[in-house]
Amino acid sequence: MRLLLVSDLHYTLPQLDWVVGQAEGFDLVVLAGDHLDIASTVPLDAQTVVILRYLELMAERTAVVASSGNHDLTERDGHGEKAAPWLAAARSVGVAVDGDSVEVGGALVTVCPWWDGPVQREALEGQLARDDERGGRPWVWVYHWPPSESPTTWTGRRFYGDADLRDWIDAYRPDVVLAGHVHEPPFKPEGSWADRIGDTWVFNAGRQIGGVPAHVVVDLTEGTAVWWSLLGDEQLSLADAAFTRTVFD
Amino acid sequence: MPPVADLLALTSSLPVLDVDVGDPVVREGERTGAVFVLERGLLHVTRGGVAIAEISAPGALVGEIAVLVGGDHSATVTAAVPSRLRVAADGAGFLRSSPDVTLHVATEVAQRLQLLIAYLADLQRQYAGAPGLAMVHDVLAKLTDRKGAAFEAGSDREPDPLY
Repeated sequence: MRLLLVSDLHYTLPQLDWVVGQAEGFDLVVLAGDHLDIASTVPLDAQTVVILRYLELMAERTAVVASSGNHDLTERDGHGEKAAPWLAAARSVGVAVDGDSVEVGGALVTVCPWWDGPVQREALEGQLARDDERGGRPWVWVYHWPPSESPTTWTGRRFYGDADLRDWIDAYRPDVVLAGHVHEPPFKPEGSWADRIGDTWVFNAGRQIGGVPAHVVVDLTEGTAVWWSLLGDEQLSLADAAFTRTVFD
Repeated sequence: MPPVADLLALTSSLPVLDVDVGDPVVREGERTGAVFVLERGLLHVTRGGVAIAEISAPGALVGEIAVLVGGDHSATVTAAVPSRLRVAADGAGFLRSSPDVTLHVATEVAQRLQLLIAYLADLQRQYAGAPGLAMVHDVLAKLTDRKGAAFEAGSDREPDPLY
């Protein structure tokens, strides 16, 4: 099973065009949050319409998973916590979104919403516990913010990760976590697009300018992962215990 | 449709505002509630720092969109040459002040929308291979059917908009 990971496209239309053009070549396309850009001059209402259409175009070509990121939150739910209810409309065209768990190419994919308060956090914990009981392997999580103390969160000045995710990785040991959120790590010598935490590989492709987004291709069948960016490309074997960067050599 | 009244004739009693080169008339993100009518001069319109239009026609409106949708000004308008505008400080009251004013404004906004749709339709036709442009018709159809949802952007847990 071969998947394409992109994240933090932030309403960058040429990059979304690129993903549509690539989708057919993959068993699964994963967009790990921050589809919208709250700093854009385009109103969020209009952005959601465009993004939903892009997701539909991708879903016409292959299986698609889209989780929410912090930029995707547009209103408060019944508990007063910020949420991205607009994304649920993509289910009608076959896209798996926040709170869904789907099997693709033999892998169990858990789509984790951006949680913004204790009620949503508890719901996510419940989702992870239920999926753990399913026992599907390989188990892939889509979670916007990479875990704390990981080079996939190194901004160049500090590690900027999610401590809760770190705890959940330690507790459930998924095979792969597909993330984004922190844009810089792959482009910093002390950061990275990949990290192995116990049995779990964490990937964050980062964000770059231009028409082609930084992206990671994970081949669960072949056991490889490749990162592509304007800086260069790197690859690793999922069987390896660690990963050494080469793009700065 | 009857001929639309000349907005300059309809606004002859409004106070005037003289602006010099570089002076702002309205700023993006601000809410003044005012509507302006250009008497003479040249105005530059920018949005997000990008130049999007010039206004030079006597009788052209400034600020009416923000008043109509009840929001902030969506663009910054500055004088490119010394210019004179007429000011309706109570923009909403001005738009309701007479059927001729209301019809004039509705006509101007409709004409702009018509031009925009024609332009976008042609873009869609000429760039049919690019998904982002090929979807223009679908997106416009959905947007015109919406009432302008009041979204509350951003996260409580991650207050940094850079991430």
